Amino acid sequence: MTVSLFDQFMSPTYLGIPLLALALTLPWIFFPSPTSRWLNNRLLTLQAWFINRFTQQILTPLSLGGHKWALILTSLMVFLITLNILGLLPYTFTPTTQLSLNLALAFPLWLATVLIGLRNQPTAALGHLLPEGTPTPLIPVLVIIETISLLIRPLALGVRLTANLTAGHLLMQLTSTAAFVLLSMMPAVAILTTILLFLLTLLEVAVAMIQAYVFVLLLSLYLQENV
Amino acid sequence: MPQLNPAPWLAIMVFSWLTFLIILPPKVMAHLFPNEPALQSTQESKADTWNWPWL
Repeated sequence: MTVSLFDQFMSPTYLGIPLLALALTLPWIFFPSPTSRWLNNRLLTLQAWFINRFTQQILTPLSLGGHKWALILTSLMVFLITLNILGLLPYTFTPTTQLSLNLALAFPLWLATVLIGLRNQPTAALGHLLPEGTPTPLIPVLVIIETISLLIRPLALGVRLTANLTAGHLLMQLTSTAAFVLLSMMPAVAILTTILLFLLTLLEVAVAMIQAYVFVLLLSLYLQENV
Repeated sequence: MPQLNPAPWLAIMVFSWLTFLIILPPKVMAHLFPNEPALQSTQESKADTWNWPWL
C-alpha cells in the first residue's frame, strides 16, 4: 500500500512524452523577456526587483572573485523557486522531487567551488579542514571528520531538497486522501482534516521557497570559503 | 522509491542542466537596470532656496 503512495513521484509519461520535459521547459513562459521599455508591466517589474534584490543579497558577503557567480546563482534561485512553487498546484509534477535532478545540480556546483578553492588558494582551502584552536592530539581525528563533512556536502544539498519536497507532497496527498474518504463517513472529521490540509499547503508554500533559498545560500557559503 | 529508479537519471540530469544553462541565463540577463547610482560628490552643492513662484 505504501508503495503506491510514492507513485506520484515516478517520472511520468503521457502519450510517450516524458512529462519531466514539459515540467522543465514550460514554466519559463512565466518569465517573459523584458522589452527595452523604460517602464515594464507589473510582472516584469516584480521579477526584475526580485532578481536585483536577490543578487545583491547573495553577493554581499562574497569577495570580488565570487561575483562571477552572480548569474549562475541567481538563475539557480529562479529555477528552483519556480519549479517548487509551481509543483504545489494540483496535477503538476515537481521536477525537484527527483533526486537525480537535485544531485545533478548540487554535485557539479559544489565540486566547482572546491576546485576553485584548491586552485586559487590551496593552503587556505586545505586549512578549512582544521578548525582553529583544536588541541594537538585531536588534530588527525578532526581532519578526517572535516574531510568527511566536506565530501558529504553535495549529497546533503541534493537530498535535503529532495526529501523536503517529497515529504511535503506526500503529506498533502495523504491528508487529502484521508479528507476525501472521511467525507462520506464522518464529515466533521473530514472538515478538520481539510483545515489541516489547508495549513499544510501554506507550510508547503513556505518550504518551497525556503528550500530553494537554502540551496543557493549554502552554495554561496561554500563559495565564500573558497574564493 | 521511484525516484531511485536509475533509468531516467542521465536523461533528467542532462535535460535539467540544458534548461538551466540555455533558457534561464538569457532571461535573467535580459533584465536591465538603467538607473545608474549617483556617485557621491565630494563637494556639497550649495542649496538653492526655493519658494512658490507666484509669491
